[in-house]
Amino acid sequence: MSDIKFLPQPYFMLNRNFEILAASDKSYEVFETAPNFLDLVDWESRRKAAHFLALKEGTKESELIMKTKESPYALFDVSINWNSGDGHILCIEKDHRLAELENIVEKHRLRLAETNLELLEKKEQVEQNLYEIKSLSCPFIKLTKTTALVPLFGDLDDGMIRQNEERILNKTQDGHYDYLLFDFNGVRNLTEAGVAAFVSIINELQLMGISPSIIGIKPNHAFYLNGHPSKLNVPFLSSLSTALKKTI
Amino acid sequence: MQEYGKALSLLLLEGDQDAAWRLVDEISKSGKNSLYIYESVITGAMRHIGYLWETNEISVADEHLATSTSDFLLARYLFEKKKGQKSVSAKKAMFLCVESEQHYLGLKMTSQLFSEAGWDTRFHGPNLPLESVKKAAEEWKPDVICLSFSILYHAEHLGPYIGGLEKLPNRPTVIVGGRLVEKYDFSRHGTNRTIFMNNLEDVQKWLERHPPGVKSSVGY
Repeated sequence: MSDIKFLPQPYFMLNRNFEILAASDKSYEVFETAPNFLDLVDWESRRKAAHFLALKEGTKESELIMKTKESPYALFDVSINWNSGDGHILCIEKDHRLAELENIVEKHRLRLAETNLELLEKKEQVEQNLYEIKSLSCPFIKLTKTTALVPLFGDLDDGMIRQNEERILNKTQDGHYDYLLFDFNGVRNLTEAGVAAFVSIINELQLMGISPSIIGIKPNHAFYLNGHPSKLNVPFLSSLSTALKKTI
Repeated sequence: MQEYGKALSLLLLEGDQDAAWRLVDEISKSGKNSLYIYESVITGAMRHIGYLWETNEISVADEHLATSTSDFLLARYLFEKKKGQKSVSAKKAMFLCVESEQHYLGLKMTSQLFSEAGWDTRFHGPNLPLESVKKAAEEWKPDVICLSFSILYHAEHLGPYIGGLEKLPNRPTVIVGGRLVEKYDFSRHGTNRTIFMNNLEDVQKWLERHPPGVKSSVGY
């Protein structure tokens, strides 16, 4: 019986009330001394432990959270064998390597979450840049006292016009211009919504008493502009020099 | 409603992300709101998984699989929910578990409720030491910091965390949650400014009273 002392894992012999009758030396390296086995079990595992111990027949296995000298909650594989009223119970702590693996997985998870945040930040940055690019793709250039040039660059879409509309109208009014030249030489593609927004800005300028002209229309532009239900009543000119000759 | 939780728990234990997503998506499309999905379906499923561990039917390893599957499920749910929705992001909230605390699903659901309500959120997940929280909060200046813990022994961290964070220059509101908050009184760890929330329903109600668009409405 005394050989129990030398078992390489925590071992306890219990009576029917789960009181500890004997234990291996290893038990007291790992756990504090306690009169009852349930005292070694974490409070939230106690119900599970009591239920598991109460079976009192044959061999049973379970996982329990136990209080050790090192940690108030450590996960153990517990197996018990009941024999003529005595319970023989072996407690083996879950492999540390598992905990290490869990830590690594956790690090990966965090890394993913961080990458996610970084991506989000980059996305916001790109959106901001796009906004600035759209503002820059519609500069307002004073040519003479009465004439200003607005060269358009990139894709003429709803966003480009909406974003710049107010600025163009205000600058035209503040500078007391009579002629506004929209240069399409730098325009790549048009969208239907973009054309509709452009038509409305032309109408607004005309209502303000300003004469807009359009320069440098290419075949693909013409297709879209012509397809729009309300036709633009403005001069279409082939180049800036023709336009300047007309306005100056 | 318990049936949904139980049905989901089986899929989570199998790690079947696709089937779990189909179930959640179906429930969502039947007209249930996020609070219902989080509280009744996902929390319900995880509670049932806890019950299965207690009755010796599954192991902790199975629980881990279920947790990571839920994690994925939550991320996908929020992604679908926020698609095309522009964030107001006038107010900011950060979310973290106190040191050593690994249970983060409840916190994640809370952060998602904030996000859906239009808050700008940062989810820092489990086990964040106080020094790291302070550093992150000093830089980002959140209006609200949500702390979570699920293991009783981790309640000892609440005092230092709450004290340290409420004293930050921008005076953030600290909200404490976790499954034990409903069962026990932890108010002695907090101050008169600290808010303790019992469950996700409390979170939802608080969010309705504190829309993110109005800067002054955070209860200091």
